[in-house]
Amino acid sequence: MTMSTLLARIRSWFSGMRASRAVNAEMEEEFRLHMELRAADLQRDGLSPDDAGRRARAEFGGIYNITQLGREARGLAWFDALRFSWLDFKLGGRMAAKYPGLTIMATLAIGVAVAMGAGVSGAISTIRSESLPLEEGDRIVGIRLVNIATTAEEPRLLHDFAEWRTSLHSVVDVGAFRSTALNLVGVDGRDAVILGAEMSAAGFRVARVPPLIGRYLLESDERPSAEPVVVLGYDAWRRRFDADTSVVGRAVRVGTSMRTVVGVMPEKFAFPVNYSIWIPLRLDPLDYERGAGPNLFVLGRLAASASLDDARSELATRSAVAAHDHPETHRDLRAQVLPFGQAWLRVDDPHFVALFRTVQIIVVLLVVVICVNVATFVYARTATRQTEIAVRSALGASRSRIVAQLFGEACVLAACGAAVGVWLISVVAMQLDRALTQSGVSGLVPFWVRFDVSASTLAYVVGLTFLGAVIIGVLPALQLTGPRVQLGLQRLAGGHSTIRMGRLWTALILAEVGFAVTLFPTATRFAGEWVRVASAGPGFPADQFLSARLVIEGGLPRGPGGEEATTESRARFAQARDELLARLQADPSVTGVTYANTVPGGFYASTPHFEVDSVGAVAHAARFEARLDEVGPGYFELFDLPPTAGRTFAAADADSGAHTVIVNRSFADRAFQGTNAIGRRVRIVTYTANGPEVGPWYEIVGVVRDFSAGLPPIMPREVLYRAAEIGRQYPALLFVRVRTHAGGYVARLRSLTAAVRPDLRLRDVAPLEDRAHAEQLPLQWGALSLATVTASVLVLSCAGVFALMSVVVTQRRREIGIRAALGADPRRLLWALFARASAQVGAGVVIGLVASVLLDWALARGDLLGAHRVAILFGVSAAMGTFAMFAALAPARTALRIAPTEALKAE
Amino acid sequence: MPSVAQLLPGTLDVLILKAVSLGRLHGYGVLLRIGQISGGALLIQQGTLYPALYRLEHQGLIKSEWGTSDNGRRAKYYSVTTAGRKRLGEETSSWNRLAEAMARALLATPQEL
Repeated sequence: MTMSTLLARIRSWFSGMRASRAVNAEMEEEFRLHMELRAADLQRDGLSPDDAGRRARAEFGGIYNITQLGREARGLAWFDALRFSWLDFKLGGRMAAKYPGLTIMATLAIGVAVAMGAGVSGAISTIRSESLPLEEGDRIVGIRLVNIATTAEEPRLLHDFAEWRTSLHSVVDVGAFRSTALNLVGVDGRDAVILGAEMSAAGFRVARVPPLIGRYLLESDERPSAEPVVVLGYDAWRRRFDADTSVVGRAVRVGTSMRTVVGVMPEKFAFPVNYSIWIPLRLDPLDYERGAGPNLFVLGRLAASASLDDARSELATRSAVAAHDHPETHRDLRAQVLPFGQAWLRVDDPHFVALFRTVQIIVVLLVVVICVNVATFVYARTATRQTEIAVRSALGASRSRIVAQLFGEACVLAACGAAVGVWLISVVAMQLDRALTQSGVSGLVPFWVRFDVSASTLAYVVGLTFLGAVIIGVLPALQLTGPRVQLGLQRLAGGHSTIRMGRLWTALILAEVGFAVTLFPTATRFAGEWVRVASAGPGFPADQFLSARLVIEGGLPRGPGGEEATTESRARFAQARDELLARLQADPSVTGVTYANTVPGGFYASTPHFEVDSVGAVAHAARFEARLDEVGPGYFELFDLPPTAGRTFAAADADSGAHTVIVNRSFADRAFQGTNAIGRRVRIVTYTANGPEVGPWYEIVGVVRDFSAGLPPIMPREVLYRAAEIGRQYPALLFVRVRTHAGGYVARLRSLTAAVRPDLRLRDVAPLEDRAHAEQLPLQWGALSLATVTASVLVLSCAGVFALMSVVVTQRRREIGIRAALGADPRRLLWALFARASAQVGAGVVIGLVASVLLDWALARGDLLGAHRVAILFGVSAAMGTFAMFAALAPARTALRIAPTEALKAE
Repeated sequence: MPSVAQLLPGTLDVLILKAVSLGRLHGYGVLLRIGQISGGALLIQQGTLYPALYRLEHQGLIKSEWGTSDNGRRAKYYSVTTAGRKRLGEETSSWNRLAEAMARALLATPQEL
């Protein structure tokens, strides 16, 4: 094909598609002229005007048909075939109403699939967004230093920041900030901890949001001699100062000092991350050595004429100069410029990128699998319409037209599913937002990451719905049109069915049963744990326990030129903490008090891999993941965990040189297979790019029963307890047991804390039960999602078997009739019907079992052939078989009710 | 009046190309021109003419433009493109070779074998 021919075709297609009706009108105009001219010639030959016109029209033929041929000749046939009419969708609606069971099932299944697919993809695209919801938000950047040898980020970049802010050309308004929790005393005299930022004045210029009242921070506020000032966020102003506009210019207590309010920012302003209060960043590089100082995050805005590549190039040059001038600290450090959101969330990390891609692929595959399942029974439904399809085909409908019609019907089904999906996403987003607020972590979520139905989520909904409609509409349609239509026409007269569940559908049913069986053990495990916990209760008087995070206002004091928190500052904190513990212990309302780094059984815990000494240890259990909790004195006594073997911690175990640990029963059982754990050794294994690195050995001095504060131990059940090293742990999670109800002791706990040291603060004060459940939220959501997916797949599997049986019965109707007429035993007939379904379900169960075992092996659970596991797998197999047989029951009953005379009528 | 012959499949396109190569024509004019140059010997179904015209236009072998007909009505006029003229040359050579071969084959006598 030459270029001119190709261009001519493109022009022709374009004009045909752009103005479809105009093309038809032009053709008809041309035809009418043709007939008029011909009629005129015929009149000249002697015919009357009427006869001439009639004959001209007869010679020409039907205008409609010639117009259609003309469109085909213009290459517009495929375009015409894909055009939908309102009737296609109307028919889709009628079909949905005619088969309510299928409609409900398909809608729910597609809804769940679309919700998961679009929800996850939308969230990922929000997290990976290159733009902030601010003016020219795509030009706001973050600058960070990365060690190219270790790939670790170097946050101590005060000296680099000082150089960048004065010398960079491609990035302007270079500023820095760090998070800080500030205690703000309101108009009522009550204080509240508010997450704020110590930020350069440039940060406000980067945001380009004017203050609601007063002004924002200025460079002059950063001078050490300047008056201490503060800028309030809208919520802090409204809640703490009753939205009083005269607060500007007034001195308020922020932490331990008085600061003058200079401005209030408008509602929803939380830049750079999620802050409600801002104070000037006052740091002098001269106070710190290069490579030392506090952790900072640097931000800025691309200069008017600069691109991100320009900034990268300029900072690469600066890095090279710094590496040359300061090799002792900057030899391996390189500056990176990224869109601010990506820099803050570190989503450019290759591991994150790979994770995001994997998750997206999985959710799209999930959508495809579920839609293919729905396609199975849409196929069965469509198969019952083969007469209609064959007749339409015989009347001239092209294959593409019939496919387009069935696609239109599928669009109706998919759109119902999409509506359910959007509803599910909005419900989940609302619940998640509420849960995050309740658990106190909402403040850590950046302001640009919102849990709602965003535009990108809706775009994914549309895309996935279209994909779903293609799968559930086009796939069965292609199977049922083509050569089979001809066959259908030939057999229609005989009343035979030409429906067949071919290899494709058999494979699909097999796959979905296998998929359900694979997921079922994990889902039942989750569900079982929840049921067990719900029925058993927490197992300890949870309502008597109060928990609170003990911190120092503004974080631990920092030493000049040294680490973020010095050994001295940690020791001073430990002293204050111990004094508070002593005061609490002396309070008659308190029966015990201790601290740890995490809630027992909570989600946010350290779970390193451990290696057990090889003496007598079973090989496969030598290395595995376990929780590592650091606990204070009296922890085991407070939670009533007497040692079942060995001892609990003594004061000497908190010494940095004491390498002792206590393990729980699950750890001892898994690591030592019932042998004595006391005196055995374990050590932490860290997997690095250079291979595994091991830490020092720890000796096991005690074993306690499993305990998780009433939470289902979904995380590793195996727990190691290490005594909190003296003077190291910060912050401390306090656990106070009181004689009455924990909620009534909050005020007393606060007053005792304030009396110990003015800057000692309590955060997240809540009954232990509430905190534990808040920590368990991610697992709850995980369990809910898994249960939903499993239930969907399970329902779809049953529906698939139902569809299979229905088709088999329809297909073998005549045979059943003959066999019944010949006196066949109903049981034999039933078995003949069930044989194929049984074989398919059985094969699917076997595939699922193998996949389940492989999945466990891949996840290195290590207990592949545990008795409970075998029991679950057998239970799952039996359950699937039962489900499938129940699903096949109704079609089987229909089969046995077929009257021989009726079945043979067509003969 | 000469006896009318049925058109061989595939020859309509060549005839249209030939007709419009002699001057720009509207659809009915193409029909008349083919009748004229074939001496009225070829019968063309009028309904098949337009799909053929559109096909040739879609292939870039002819082009069209709206003009005014002799009776003052708006009419679409077709003319051959460079690609169409080239194709006409190829098809004419091919047809001549085929016609020659057919004539030779049909005139063959037992003596020539």
